[in-house]
Amino acid sequence: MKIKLSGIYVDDQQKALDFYTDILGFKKKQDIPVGEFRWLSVVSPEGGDTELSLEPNVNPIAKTYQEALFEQGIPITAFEVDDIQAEFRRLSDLGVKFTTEPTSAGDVTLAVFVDTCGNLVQIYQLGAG
Amino acid sequence: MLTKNQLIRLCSARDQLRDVGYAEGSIDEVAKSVAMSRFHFVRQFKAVFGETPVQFRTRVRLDQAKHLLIQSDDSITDICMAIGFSSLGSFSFLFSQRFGRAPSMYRQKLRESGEILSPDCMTIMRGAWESDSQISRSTISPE
Repeated sequence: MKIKLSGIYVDDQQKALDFYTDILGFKKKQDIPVGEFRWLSVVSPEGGDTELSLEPNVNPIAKTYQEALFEQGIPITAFEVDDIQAEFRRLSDLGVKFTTEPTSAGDVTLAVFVDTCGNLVQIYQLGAG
Repeated sequence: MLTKNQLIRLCSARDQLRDVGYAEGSIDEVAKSVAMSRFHFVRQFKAVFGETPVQFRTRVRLDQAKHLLIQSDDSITDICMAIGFSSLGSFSFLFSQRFGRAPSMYRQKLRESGEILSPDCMTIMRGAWESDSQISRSTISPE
């Protein structure tokens, strides 16, 4: 058994694709039309083959779950970075809004930003605490 | 930085904008209700939700129209009015732009095809793998 695919809900798939590729820097992997929706996923350009699927939150249950996490300030997922201060500056310069600046938490430093698609996303750097 | 309080106020604004009963041109009122100037509100809303309040409200209304078209037998005009549009022309134009066909055609096609209106992720995944898009899937794989 492998972890090859993970997913997050987004409120608009095209908006999500733009953010996760143009702003975060991921690469589009799958883009298959299914009716008016898409099976859409991105991968990291830095290696690894785990795909992140960007799933429409059209199911009311998905929307409720997504919005509750967002309003409580809870990130929906987390990505590891090599230099969290540099990522914080890069993303801030691109207009990304952070709810938590890089903050030391023991042996890890973490930050949280808004992905413009209804989610909070955490980034973390190991060994930077 | 976006504070917890600002995030909650923006979520409250989003909930208000989702209310189709809200009158056109009420962005000022929504901004005021969350204690922000219109300028600051529009900028913050776009930075957090990726679209302006007007774009968000339009998208939500069109999604609601889509559901009404499938789940009711109401006329296109009634649906247009129910979701807060005052012009049938604007509604049809924006609906076609978002969903690729006019409201009446959309209703006819979805009813004929039996397509699921709110599919879950497993349904979409299965649909993707069963689709005839095998070629496009291989062509978009990263080099």
